[in-house]
Amino acid sequence: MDQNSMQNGMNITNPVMPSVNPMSTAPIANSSSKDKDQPSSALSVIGVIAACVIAAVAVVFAVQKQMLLNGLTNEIAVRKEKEISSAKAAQKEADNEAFERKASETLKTFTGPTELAMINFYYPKDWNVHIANTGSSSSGGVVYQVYFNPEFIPPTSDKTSRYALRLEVVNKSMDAVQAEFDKLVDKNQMTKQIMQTDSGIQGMRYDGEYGGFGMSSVVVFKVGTTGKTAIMRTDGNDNKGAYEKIIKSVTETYD
Amino acid sequence: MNPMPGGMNPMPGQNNNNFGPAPSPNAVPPMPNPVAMPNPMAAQQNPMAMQGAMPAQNPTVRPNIGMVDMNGAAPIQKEKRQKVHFPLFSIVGLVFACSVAGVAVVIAISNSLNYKNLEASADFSIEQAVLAAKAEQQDADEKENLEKEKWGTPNSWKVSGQWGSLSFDYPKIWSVLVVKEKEGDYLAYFRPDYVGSVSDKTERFALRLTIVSKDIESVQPTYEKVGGRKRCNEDYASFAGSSSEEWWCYSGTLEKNMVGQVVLIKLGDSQKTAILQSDATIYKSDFEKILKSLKRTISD
Repeated sequence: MDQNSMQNGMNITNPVMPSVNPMSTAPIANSSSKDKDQPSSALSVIGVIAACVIAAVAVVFAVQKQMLLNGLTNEIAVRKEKEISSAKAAQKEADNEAFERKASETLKTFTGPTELAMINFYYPKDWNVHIANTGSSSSGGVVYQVYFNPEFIPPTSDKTSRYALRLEVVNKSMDAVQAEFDKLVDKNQMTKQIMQTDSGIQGMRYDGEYGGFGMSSVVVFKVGTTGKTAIMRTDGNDNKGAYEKIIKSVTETYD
Repeated sequence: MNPMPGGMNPMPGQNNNNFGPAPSPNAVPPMPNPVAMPNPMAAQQNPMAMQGAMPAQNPTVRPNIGMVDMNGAAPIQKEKRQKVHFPLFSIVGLVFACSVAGVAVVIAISNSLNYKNLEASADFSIEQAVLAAKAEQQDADEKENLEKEKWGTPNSWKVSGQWGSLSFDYPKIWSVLVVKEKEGDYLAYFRPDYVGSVSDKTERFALRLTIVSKDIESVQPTYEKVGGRKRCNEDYASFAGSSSEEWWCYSGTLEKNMVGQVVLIKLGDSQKTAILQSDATIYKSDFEKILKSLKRTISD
């Protein structure tokens, strides 16, 4: 097969194909590509610009949200600080008022043990208190013993020591305790009369010479339903005024 | 670059590359695939028949759609596609812009959610903070007022006569029990609210004041085992005429389960010693205030 026949053969094989010779197709393709590059470049620039615009909008949106968030955070912080400050001031004022009120009070509350009907009464707050027997042991029938006195509590071992108030709870019935004091009434050393506290507790009051302290007072009453009896006594007349208030304020918690 | 157009199906192993070496004139021309391609002569004679026959005759050959149509008039689509390209800066710009936009959108959504959460929980968090602040203030006021109550106008305790002269301040809300004062040693107990049973070993007193008729040197050995002795702080020994030899402080375990402080003070005619003891560390600050207020007079 010669050159012509080869050429012809090729043409015969693909008579319509313009790109049979690659060398002849190259310039055509290049000129076509150049023409197409112009719109594609423009398109890409437009695309980039559009993307940038979208990005800018998104950034602005994000910044706006961040600013809103910061604003709200600051607002809440300021509000919180303000409310905390005013709450603290209000609390301090209330606490100071309570303190002043407490400081101006002249009485204090004494509360006995639960098993002894929680005997409760007011006493001058500047009095000293000594709980000698908490009820865990019984000495001579005394199961609970408390001493009250201004300035200090003198030695309890000293029989001459005087107290503004002695509170004793004895393991005896009220009748048995009354019987002991009634003997003194019979001897005209003491007088007796029924008394009632502000809370309605009834007891028996004895006034007269007792314990070597001159005119003294003793009040006897039942301790709830325990079968025990409470004896509240003041030695002498020195603290009689306070004693009257104390015995009037006695309350008990019944089972 | 381009495979052989027109459905030419080169024989296996045949060089199909247009950029390859030109076939030798003497070389055997590529044999058209009789299966894939109809007879070119026939096609030349009847092109329509060839067009119609191609897909039907060889369904295994993929039609070269988009490369050139059989008439040779259509543009080469694939070539067009390859020629459409974006400049590098455009691609980088696009990617960058999209990334920025994506991050910004995520941040915006996150901020938006945080905003809503913060707004919803604001009242509750403020309420909680206010409650905590009130409780904190109440605790602080309680401590402050307790201190004011104790030391605003303190009580004064005085010992005189045969015991020499000793005085100090103590909190107003403390109770005092004097156990012995007429014969032997002087003994007094101080405690907030009330003084419990002194025979109860578990009772802890804020202050035990004991005055013994012994010189300080003979009392010291009893307390040597406690923590280790040291000179008292200068602040304690603030009264006139005192010297460091007249004060000794001890701190540590005084008895079993009792950690406190003890101060020995030379008193009276130097044959008496005052022992101030605090049974628990919770009374330490009050104990130190008592010591600072302490006054004594030594009779010659």
